Amino acid sequence: MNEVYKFYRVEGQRRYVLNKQSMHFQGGYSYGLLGVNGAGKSTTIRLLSGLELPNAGSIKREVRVSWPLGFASGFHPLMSGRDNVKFVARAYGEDPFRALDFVADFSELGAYLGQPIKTYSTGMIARLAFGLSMAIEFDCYLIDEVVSVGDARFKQRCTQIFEERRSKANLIMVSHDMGMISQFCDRALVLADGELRPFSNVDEAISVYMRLNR
Amino acid sequence: MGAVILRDLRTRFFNHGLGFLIVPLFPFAHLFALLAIQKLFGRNFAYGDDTNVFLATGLIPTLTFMYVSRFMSISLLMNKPMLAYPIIGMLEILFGRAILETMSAIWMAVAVFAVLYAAGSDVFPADPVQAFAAFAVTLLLAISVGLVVSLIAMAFEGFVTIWALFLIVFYISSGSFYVVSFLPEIAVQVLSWNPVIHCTEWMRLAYYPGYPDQVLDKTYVISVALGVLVLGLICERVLRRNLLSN
Repeated sequence: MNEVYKFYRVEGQRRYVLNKQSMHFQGGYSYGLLGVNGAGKSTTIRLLSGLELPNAGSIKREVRVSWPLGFASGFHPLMSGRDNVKFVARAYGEDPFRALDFVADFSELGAYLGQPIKTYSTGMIARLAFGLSMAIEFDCYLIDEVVSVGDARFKQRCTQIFEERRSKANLIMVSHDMGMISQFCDRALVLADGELRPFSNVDEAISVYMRLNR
Repeated sequence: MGAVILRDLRTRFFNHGLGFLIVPLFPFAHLFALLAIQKLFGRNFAYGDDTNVFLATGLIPTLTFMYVSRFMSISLLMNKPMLAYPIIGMLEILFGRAILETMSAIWMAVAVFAVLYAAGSDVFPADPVQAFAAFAVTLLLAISVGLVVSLIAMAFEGFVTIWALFLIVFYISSGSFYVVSFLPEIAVQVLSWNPVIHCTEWMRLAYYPGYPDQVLDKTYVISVALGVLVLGLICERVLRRNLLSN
């Protein structure tokens, strides 16, 4: 991330999410991104994924970076779960049938996979989205709060697969759950007033975040 | 791009890939409805010895422009969910749609000529190279205009309706139903600003060697098509940040 500016206009004023921020996310480390509500954590994750572009500056990705995990808005409501999975797998250059086998096995949606997404419940969509995120292997997973979905048993499966992926890939994670940040991250960043402050000690970052949150 | 084309193909009609076959039926049905109406009212042909061929040589470029630019104009809005995946950009969606629309327009033109040939018309152009060039430039113009309109529509959805109304003006002033050169001088001057009229005149010249072509300006229509294409690509580059943030 090189001299990145990202702002929105709110009542004629620029509200900076990132104000001339440079950051190098080092391979081999997982990062937690902390900040109070409205600081721009999700926007930063979207910038890192490439879903949004900065107003100025550049973001260079040298590894394969995921879309924000658990993100379900890319599904076409009239297409079946099966066709949606095949489309995303093709778009990312994966074997669509391998991805489909993985999602079918993981999501436990059974015959529903052949039904249009519009007939799915919110829980079913979340399971499909999570399964799809895990079906495609990335070097870096971007996580915006979601690391598990569904009931207790399914959550357990999500955590298990997530740990498997994490052993081979890095994470950049946004969460308000400090337990999760401590569990999954080696380093942390605190986002406040358009500035990203890096911490090599996660606990130190958490205490700064706690102070900001008072 | 392949994944985008397959998804676009599948989601057009009936949630099935074969639903795409309906797309060329719109201009096809439109054209034959007009041929049937002129037959019913027994109107005289404006040029040549076959009214069907005269109308088809005007309507194929005109309807190609209308339908291709129209379907291009809604491509981003229809496929917005795809932009939730960072690997897919607006240009992939637009050029994917352009490839599909080109295939559809070729399918429509071939089908029209096949039916007219079966009905006994002489559908083979006097100059096939010029006929092909006229059709290709029409497609380029339609895709370029559709690109710009689709970007405007992403920022302001209501523009899709405004564009649909604009197309009526292009349709009436395209010269499909009359020989432009036979109109009064002032009308010719005004109509010659419409790039579509140059496409129809170009196609007619390819069919009728002695066709009055004083309106035809190939450089103008090619310049407009390329100019609008460049404008569209610049717009995409400049507006990309704002459009993706919305």
